[in-house]
Amino acid sequence: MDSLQGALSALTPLNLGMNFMGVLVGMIVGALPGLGSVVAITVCLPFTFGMDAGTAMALLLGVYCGSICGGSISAILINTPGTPQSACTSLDGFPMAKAGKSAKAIGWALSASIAGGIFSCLVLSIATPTLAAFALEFGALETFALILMGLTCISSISAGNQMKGLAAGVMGLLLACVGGSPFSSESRFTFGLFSLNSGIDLVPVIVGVFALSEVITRAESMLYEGRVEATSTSGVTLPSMKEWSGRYWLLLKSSIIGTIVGIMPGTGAATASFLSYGEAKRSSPRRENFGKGEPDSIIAAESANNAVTGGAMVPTLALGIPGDPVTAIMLATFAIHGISPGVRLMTENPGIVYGTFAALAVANLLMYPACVITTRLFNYFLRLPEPILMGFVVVLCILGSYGARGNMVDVVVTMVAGVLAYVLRRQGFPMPPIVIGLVLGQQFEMSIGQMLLFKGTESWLSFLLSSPIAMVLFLFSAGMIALPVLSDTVKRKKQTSS
Amino acid sequence: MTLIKRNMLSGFSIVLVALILYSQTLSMGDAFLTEGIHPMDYPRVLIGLLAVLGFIIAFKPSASACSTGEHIAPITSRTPLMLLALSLYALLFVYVGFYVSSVVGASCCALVMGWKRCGLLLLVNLVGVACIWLLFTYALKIPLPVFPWW
Repeated sequence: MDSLQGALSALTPLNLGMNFMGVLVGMIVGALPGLGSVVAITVCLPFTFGMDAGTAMALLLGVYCGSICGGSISAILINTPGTPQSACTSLDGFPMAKAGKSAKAIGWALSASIAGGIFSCLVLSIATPTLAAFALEFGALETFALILMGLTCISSISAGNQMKGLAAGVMGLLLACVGGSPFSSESRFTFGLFSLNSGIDLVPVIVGVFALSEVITRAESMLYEGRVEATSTSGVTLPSMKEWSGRYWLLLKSSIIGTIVGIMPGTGAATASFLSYGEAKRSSPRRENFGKGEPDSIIAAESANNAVTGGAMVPTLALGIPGDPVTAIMLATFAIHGISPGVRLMTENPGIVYGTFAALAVANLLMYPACVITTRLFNYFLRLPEPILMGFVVVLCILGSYGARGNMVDVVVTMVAGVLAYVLRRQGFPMPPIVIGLVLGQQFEMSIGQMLLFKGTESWLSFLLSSPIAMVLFLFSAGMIALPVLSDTVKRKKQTSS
Repeated sequence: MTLIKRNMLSGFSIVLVALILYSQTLSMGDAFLTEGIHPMDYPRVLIGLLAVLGFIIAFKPSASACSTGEHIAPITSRTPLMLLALSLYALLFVYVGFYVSSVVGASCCALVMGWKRCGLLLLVNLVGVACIWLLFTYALKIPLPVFPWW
């Protein structure tokens, strides 16, 4: 009974209003390059002090969902991912926008986000205690296997350009090495710059790699092709059921990936979207169109990154373990309101738990009106003539990279990343592997070290066989590397025989 | 530039970067070892892998000759000008704060991209940057760097 009352509390006018405000604010802040969920939630946190726990959670969960989805709007319209997790969305979203299908691209992103979010809420409400126990099974070896699987995405993402893709991935992994070693904290590759001791942040690199290099490329293409039509949007066009047919399995698979990654503490939505994108590029029947404006890519990235919102609440609520800074703030909000998440919360305060699930589900549904409003606001911005618009894109890029940590070095990192990305693009290197390497690099190194420590004197074979989860993940990784190579070989053989 | 030359250039540049990075790993000879793991062990493996990939790209063009499917326009005079404008913006951002640098930076970028109506450009940028300033400072409470004499 408590559970039902808790769930229904998310539907009171006050909670619904706060939830919508949260989604709207989150979406607008998320759409601003560099300002992700943490900034959006931090801005709204002081307003929750006077609210009861249910209303506060409705507001913050709205902000959380809205900010993750909002990043895709700028990724699609101006090729500037608002958040790291929407970097994948720009790979096909922006080509769609350039082809005059921005409303459709936003529609795909929005519907996939809503579906992914609702799916994770359903899973969350049915199986939180079981999933929390599953999350506890993840030790160093399993985390290593999961991250390795994420890195193998590089192989499928760079299909047809494997060597340059792999080189770009290794560059990303090396970028993640800059700063203190995760074990001894000794500085590496700082070239004497004190500010690099804390490492290279993801946001400045993403802004530089995707947005600044695009501005430089556009400056060139404008001279050759005359005026490049600025992307504009006529709002949000949701895809029809007919367009969805043949894509449901992809949606379900990506949502499952997002939910599972969300459950693992410390992984995050960016990892989920890259994993899901890599899997979609490997298995989609329309994989040849990836990079040219294929909705499958947007579905994979967006459903996975939004499914993380529900997954991330599993360890937060059931174990009291925050997986990332956003869930840490959520945990702090619970603490402010006198509630301590953990194993006993599910039995002692089910109303709060199910109220949180319901608020998360409602936030996902409210993303549609919020996205329509945000897209209209963006439309005013996009009506500016192309050169002036590009000037503002540069301002937002610099601001985004500075605003993430308030660090001037991040501005310089953005510039350097932008110029290097421009040079690498000209040389035919794919950009996503660099970002994947940087996203997963630190966790990868940490998990290798932990794995070696845990292994001790045990033989490798018995150590690896001790974890069935890790074995399954290793097999998946091997498959993800082998399948693109095999399919390329088969294709080439067919071509030569014909 | 032919594709083979381009790949050779890319490959050798990667090897050069790998050598520079490797030289950095030598400066930490007496680092603290955690359970026998040197802080530079992992980066050295990556650097070795990068160098190998660089050689493969340079000497085996067939393996990496495929384009990414992305259209690349030839380098124009605008490219160095745009790079200059971006560098100027970053430099000004550090020394004169957000407002002045953003107006100058955005205007320079627009001029490089071929915009000619300077008066209108300045007006739009002054108003637009002021709006962004207000949004960040008052709505989002994110302090932006200001002109040091302000």
